[in-house]
Amino acid sequence: MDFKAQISIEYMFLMGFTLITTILVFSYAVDANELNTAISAARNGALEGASIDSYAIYSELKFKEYEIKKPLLMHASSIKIVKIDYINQGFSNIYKKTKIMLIIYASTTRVLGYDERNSLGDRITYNARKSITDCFKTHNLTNDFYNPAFSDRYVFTTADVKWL
Amino acid sequence: MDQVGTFSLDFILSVILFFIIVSSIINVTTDRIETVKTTEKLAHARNLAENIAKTINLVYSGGNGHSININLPKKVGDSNYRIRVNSSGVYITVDGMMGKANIIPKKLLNGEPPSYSQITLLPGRSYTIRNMEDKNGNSWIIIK
Repeated sequence: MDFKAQISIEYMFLMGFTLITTILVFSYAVDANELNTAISAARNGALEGASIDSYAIYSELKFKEYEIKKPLLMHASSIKIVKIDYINQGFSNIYKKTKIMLIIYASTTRVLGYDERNSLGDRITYNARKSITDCFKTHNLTNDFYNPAFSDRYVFTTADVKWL
Repeated sequence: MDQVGTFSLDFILSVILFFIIVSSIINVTTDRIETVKTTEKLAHARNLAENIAKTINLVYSGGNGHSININLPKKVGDSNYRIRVNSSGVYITVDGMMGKANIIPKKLLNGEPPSYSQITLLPGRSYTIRNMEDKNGNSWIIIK
C-alpha cells in the first residue's frame, strides 16, 4: 500500500473546487481584459482625433470642404478628451457579441456652432472606432467607417461626442 | 522526485495570465506609440506653417526693404512635405493631410512684379522673404 500513490477525497474536492473557480475567474478576467484593451484603444483613437482637430490639419478632401464651408475649423485650438464612458447594451443577436456604446466627452476653448462641433466630434469617434479595429485586427468584419468596430467578444458603436 | 522537473499549477496560471496581459499591453502600446508619432508630425507641420506665416507677417510689418531668411527642414517627422504660399496663407501638406496658417492678405511673388503668384517652397532649402515697394508705391512680399 505504501508503494502506491494515493490522494484523499478531500484533496480531490479541493482541487475540483479550485479548478472550477479558476476557470470561472479566468473567463471573467479574459472578458474584462478585452473590454479594458478596447477602451484603451478607443482612448488612443480619440486622442489622435482630438490632435488632428487641435492642429487643424485634415485630409485634403476635408480640408477643401472646411476651407469653403467651415472656415472656423481652419484654426488650431485646444481640444481635450475629458473621459470615455461606455454603456453595455446587452447581447446583440445580429452580431452575436455583447454590444457596447462608447460615449466620449470632450472640451474645447473654441466657440463653435453645432455643425462645426459635429465635424470635430465625428473625427474623434471615427478615430476611436478605427483604433479598436486596428487593435483587434478586425478590418474584415467592419465597413469603411469602422462602424461598428469589433473585438473578439464585443461590438462597439459610438454616440455623438458630448462637449463640456 | 528531486531529479524530475515540475511545474506547479500556480506557476502555469501565472504565466498564462502574464502572457494575456503582456499581449494586450503590447497592442495598446504599439497603438499609443503610433498616435504619439502622428501627433508629433502634426505639431511639427503646424509649427512650420505658423512660423513661415509669422515671418511673412513680420517682413510685411517691417516695411520696405525688410528681409528675413528662413531655413526649411528636410522632413516633417519622417515624412516628406510640401508648402505652398499664396496671398491668403501658408498651406502645408504632409502624408495626405493639409493645414493652413493665415497671413495678412498681401501680394506675393517669387520673381519681379507685377504678377501674383502661388509660391511653392521646397524642403531643405533656404529662402529670403523680402518686403519690396514698386515704383507705384505698392508693397510686395518677395520669396526666393
